Amino acid sequence: MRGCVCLRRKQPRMFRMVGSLPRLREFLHRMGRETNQGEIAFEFDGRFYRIRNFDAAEAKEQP
Amino acid sequence: MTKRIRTTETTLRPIRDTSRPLRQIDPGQVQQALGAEEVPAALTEALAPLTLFALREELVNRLQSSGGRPGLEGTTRRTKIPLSDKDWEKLEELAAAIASPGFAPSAGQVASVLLSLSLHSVASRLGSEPASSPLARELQGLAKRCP
Repeated sequence: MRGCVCLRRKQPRMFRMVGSLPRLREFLHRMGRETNQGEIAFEFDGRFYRIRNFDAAEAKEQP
Repeated sequence: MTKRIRTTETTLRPIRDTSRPLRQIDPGQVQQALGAEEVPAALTEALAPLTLFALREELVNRLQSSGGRPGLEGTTRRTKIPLSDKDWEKLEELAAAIASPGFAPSAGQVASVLLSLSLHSVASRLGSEPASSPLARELQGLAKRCP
């Protein structure tokens, strides 16, 4: 089963969107990793992309 | 006998956004930031389910209810565009494919959004490449003027 997320903007709000890319990366990679997906696919500006190698989960700091 | 109510208010002039269009994000930047790889298949060549999803999303965002069938936001004119029966059938199929309970766009609305997306795509491509012909230069100029 594959996970699909549609990321599309008519005219991306550049600075706001660029600033949120690390959070978006974290979300997409986490979704793929934790739901055991083979890949996560998304579309941006008419191009099709896929993420196949997910980032490793960050170790939570112990209190 | 019922009498038709006619509004006598003056029609307000449409508001035009004259602000400068924002710079587009480089797709390569998004690709690198998200750790993704580009798939060589072009979406413009085949209607992938993801494209259908994008089309549906655009319709959901732009359809406004004003009583009766919801109208498409941002459309101000109704123009006759020559179409073949085959193309119209395809539009009707597309409209049926993305419809769901409570959301039933017409074939014309699907055509309007597809035309809008295609024009935007053409304008983006022209904006990123040097214009080689007078027509391309003219389109490039138009794209710059249209936010």
